[in-house]
Formats: sequence, structure tokens, C-alpha cells
Amino acid sequence: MLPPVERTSSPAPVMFAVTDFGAFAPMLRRYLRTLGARADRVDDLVQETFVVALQKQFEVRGDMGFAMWLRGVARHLLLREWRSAARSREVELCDRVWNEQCGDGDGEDLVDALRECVRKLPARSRVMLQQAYGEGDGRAELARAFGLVADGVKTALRRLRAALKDCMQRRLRRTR
Amino acid sequence: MSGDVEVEEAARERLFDVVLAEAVAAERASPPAPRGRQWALVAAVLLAVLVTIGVALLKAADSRDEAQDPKTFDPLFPRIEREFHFDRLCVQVRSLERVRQLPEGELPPLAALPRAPNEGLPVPVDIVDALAGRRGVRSLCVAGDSGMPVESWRRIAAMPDLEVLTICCDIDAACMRELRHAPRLRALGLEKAKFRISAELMAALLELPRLDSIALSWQELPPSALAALAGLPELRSLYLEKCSTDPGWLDALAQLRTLRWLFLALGPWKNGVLTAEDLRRIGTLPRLESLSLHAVDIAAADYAALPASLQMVSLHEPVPASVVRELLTRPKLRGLCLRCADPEAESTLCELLPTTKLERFGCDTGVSERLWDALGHLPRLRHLSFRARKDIAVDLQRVVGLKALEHVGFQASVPAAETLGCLRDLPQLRRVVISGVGDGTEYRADLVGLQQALGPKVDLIVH
Repeated sequence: MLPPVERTSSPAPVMFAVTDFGAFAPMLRRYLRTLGARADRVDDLVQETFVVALQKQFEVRGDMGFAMWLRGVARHLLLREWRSAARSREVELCDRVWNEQCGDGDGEDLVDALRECVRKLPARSRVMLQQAYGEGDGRAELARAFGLVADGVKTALRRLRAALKDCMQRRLRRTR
Repeated sequence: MSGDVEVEEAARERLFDVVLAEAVAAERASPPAPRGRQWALVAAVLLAVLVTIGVALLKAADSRDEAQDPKTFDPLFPRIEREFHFDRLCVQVRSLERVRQLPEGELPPLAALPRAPNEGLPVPVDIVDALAGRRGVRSLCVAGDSGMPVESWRRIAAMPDLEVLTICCDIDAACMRELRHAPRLRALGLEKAKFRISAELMAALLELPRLDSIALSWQELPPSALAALAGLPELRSLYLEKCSTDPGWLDALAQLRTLRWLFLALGPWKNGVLTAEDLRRIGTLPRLESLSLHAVDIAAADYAALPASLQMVSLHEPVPASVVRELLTRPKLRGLCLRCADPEAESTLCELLPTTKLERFGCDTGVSERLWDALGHLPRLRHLSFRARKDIAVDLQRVVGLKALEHVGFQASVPAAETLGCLRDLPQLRRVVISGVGDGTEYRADLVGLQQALGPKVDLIVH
């Protein structure tokens, strides 16, 4: 969903009417995880990003510009949290991966494509994925539920991931 | 360079992981596509077994309310709305004799109250101790003008089924700390008027890490105490009613990053006003899905600053047509409760409602025929609350036309059982809430009859 930008045909920068931080939250979560932020720190960093956005009287040119600006803030906050200049190279590389995978977008098309791929999976695989990624079940629980040994679960999940990655890339190539 | 490649590959994997988790979560709600392969049958059998086990577990936990897995928080049916005494009629227990009369098995919400309804009486410790020995008590309120000895709190903490505790008396940090042993306690209310919540008390409260719902009413709540709630990792719902605090409370509130449901009644606190800037500050809560505002003045132009990511908005001050229009054109909105300021606002509401996909709707006023017609165009409407007209049968006849309803709430004098019985025609109905009856005797006479009229599957709440 696009944020509610006060639209104008003027080339001059427009003030962003920030009423919908939440619309940017999924994008920032994906981005911060890509950069390597710990899962339990992501929400805090997302909110700190919004707080900075709220405090700044910034000017932006359109919603993409705002999203990019937010990612920049999030990146700096992450680096500040790590207190490590050495990792800035690492973050730079991860940022490059984000741009390569999502471009100017927010990563929503990846989710849509992958969702279609998940939908096409056989029921057993889908249930296994849901238990592994949705419920957070470990290999032992999955092994019990599906009558496999733990290594079998590992192999099955690895194959599933590879198939889904392939499917997602094919779909993205078609739609982009 | 090979290090760079590894870093990039790890980043790709992390991005894939997070996207996959989102895709799986989004897919979970959708029914699986039919497949004609044999092993799909095996998967279906496996799922059926799992579902059967799950249903059995849920039934064991609660035979009537659907249990809400915290992972699947539903902003339209949040548990907090029905678990504290503000949403339920408690069984008042004022004597040991009354304790003995309580039936075996699961009990309705109980309130241990002083022996007479006068101010200044102490907590009836003997009654609390007697209740603490009972099984089947899921929700308990203790009230009185003093505190209780630490042994009584220890007995409460030993209650095996207790999930919701409302404290309307004094409590200090040492007593609060005892509650950390309560095995199932997940909702806590502090509701003794003008009780000052100290940092020490809040630190003790943080030793109850399973809490997911907190209700604070009429408390003296310094911002530092509010901010301390951020230490509860599972906190999802916060009810703040007319607490008094100091500047900086919004900054403290914004630290509660796990919040999904927030109720704010300001009243004299902060002069009952929220500015656009305040609303934006609230909007920084990254997971907030439901916001209720009572006794809060907001300038019409500032409503636009309500977080657009909200799925449920409840506004209990009258709003003009421009606000109705702004809210009803929000694509993420699934539930709305409001009060129209004038006929123009209601006209806008009736015009735009059919264009929405609302699943929950409430209005603090009566429902006109035109509005009933508009509600008839909401095929997903599951939750409806309204103020009934004097002849409630007319309203209920319109209600039964809304076949997807699971929850019906209305403010009215209690109808006759045969009038209420028409709601049996709603196949999904599981809860009826009748509010605003005060302490009149009329409803007491026929609660059983009303419940029978609705059938055993429907939870009837009268308060």
C-alpha cells in the first residue's frame, strides 16, 4: 500500500504527511534481517527508525525516496548498535543484496511470488513448511509429526527451500 | 573476495527466510488447494488427527470461549475485551456461605468483595482464602480498602486455573512478587482508584513474564512505571483508563513495542486532548493493530494522523462526516466503532459502508433503517454492537439478517427471552453482550431463561 503522500505536479520537494509508518514496517523488517539484525532486535530498530523519522523535519521526493531514506536510517541505527566500523563493509554488501533482490521496491513482490509457490506445493510439504516456519517447530517435532528421522527433515526442508527459491525467481522474472 | 561472496550469500538466505516466513504466515489462513494425489489423503488424515488433538486440548482449556493462541492475535476479537470485569458481570462473593454455594467445575468470573457495599471496608481475606482453594476459577477480582497479607497472595498464586486477576486493593512489591508462581496468570488489572504504581511495584510485576494483558484504571502512573512494562516480553494488550501521569507518558507508551491492542481513556488526564503529533507518536508502535480512544478530544483535521496500519479503530467521541470518510477509505481497516456527530456524518457512513470489507462495526447510538440497510451489504460482518431502540425486537429482526455475525452486543434493557431467541437463527453466533443494564433487578430474574433462549453454544454476558 502506498503511503499517503501529499501529491503534487511540482518538481519541488514535497513534505511527507507521515501518518502511516506501519505501511513501511514490513519492508524495514525484511531489510534489517537482510542486513543481519537479530530477529529479537528488529522491532526495536524499526520503531527507532520511525522515531527518527518523526523527529526529523525531512523533505522527500515521493514514496520511494522516503522508503530509501528510512532504510538509510535503519542501516545507521544498526551500525550504531553494533558499534563496529568493521562491519560497515558487511552491511554495504548486504545492502547491495537488498537492491539486487528488491530494487526500489519493498520486497512485497517476493512475498507474493513465494506465496504462490507455497500454494502450489503438495499438502504434506505445505504442512511441513507451516510447522517449521509458522509454528517454529524444531527438527525433532517435525520428525515425529511426519514419521521421519531428524536428518530426513533437514534434507526435506533443504529441498523444499531450493525448489521454492527456484520457483520464486522464475515468477519474479516473469512479473518484473 | 570469497568472504564477500559468503556475506552476500548469507544476506540472500536471510532475506529468503524472512520472506518465506511471511508467505507461509499469509498462506496459513487460506484453505489448501484440492489435489488429486493419493498421499494428499495421508496428509489430510495426519492433519485431521492433529486438529482432533488440538480441539480436544482447547475443549479441555475452555469449553465455551475459543482459546486464542497468542501467535494468532485477532484484533477484532481480542481476549482482553471479554476477560476483565469491565466486560463481564462478575459473580459477587461477599460471604463464606456464598463460596460454599458455588458449583463444582469451571466458574464464571468471581469478585471477592467486602461484606457490605460500603467504602472503607477491608478486603475479605477469609473469602479470598476460601476461593483460592477452589478449582475452576479462571478470573478473580479482589477488592477492598486495604491490602492483604502476603500469605493470601501466595494462596492466590497457587490457584491452578487462574488466568485473570483484577486487584482493587493495595498491593506492595513483595506481594506482587508472590504472583510470579501463578502457573497460568496472563492478564492482570490494577484498579484501585488513586493507587500509586511505584517503580518498585512495577519491577516486581516484571517477574510475571507470562502476562500478555494489563489493565490500569484510575491509577497514579508515572511515565517511568509505564515504560517499565516494556520489560514484559509477551505484552500485547494494554487498557489505560483515566490514569494520572506526567509529561513524557507518550514516550513511555511508545516503548511498549509488542503492543497490538491499546485502549486509552484520558478524561481529565492530559486535558483529554490528543494532537496529531501525539497520534503519530502512537503510530510508531510497530505492531499496533487496534486502538480505542475514549474521552479524548481530537481536532477533526488531526484524525488523519491515526496510524493507517490500524485494523480496528474505536472512537467514542462524535466525529464529523470528513472523519467518517477518511476512516472508511482506509484499505487496512477491518473494524470500526464510532459515533456520528450529525446527520451528514451518518449519511456519509451509510453511503460508504457498503464499499468496505468491515468485519466489525459498532456505534454508540441507535441504528437507523438506512444504516441497517448499509450493514446488510457487509457480507463479512462478524461483530456488531449498537444501542438498541426501545422496541428491541425491531432491531433484533434486522440483526438476524446479518448471517455472518459471531458477536452481537447492544445497550438496552434486557429483552424477554422469547425476543432474544430469534438470534438462534444466526448460525455462527457465539457471544451476546447486553450492557448498560446497571444493577436493576429485571435481568437477574431471567438470566437462565435468556441463556436457554440462546442455546448452550452462545456465551451470554450481561453487565
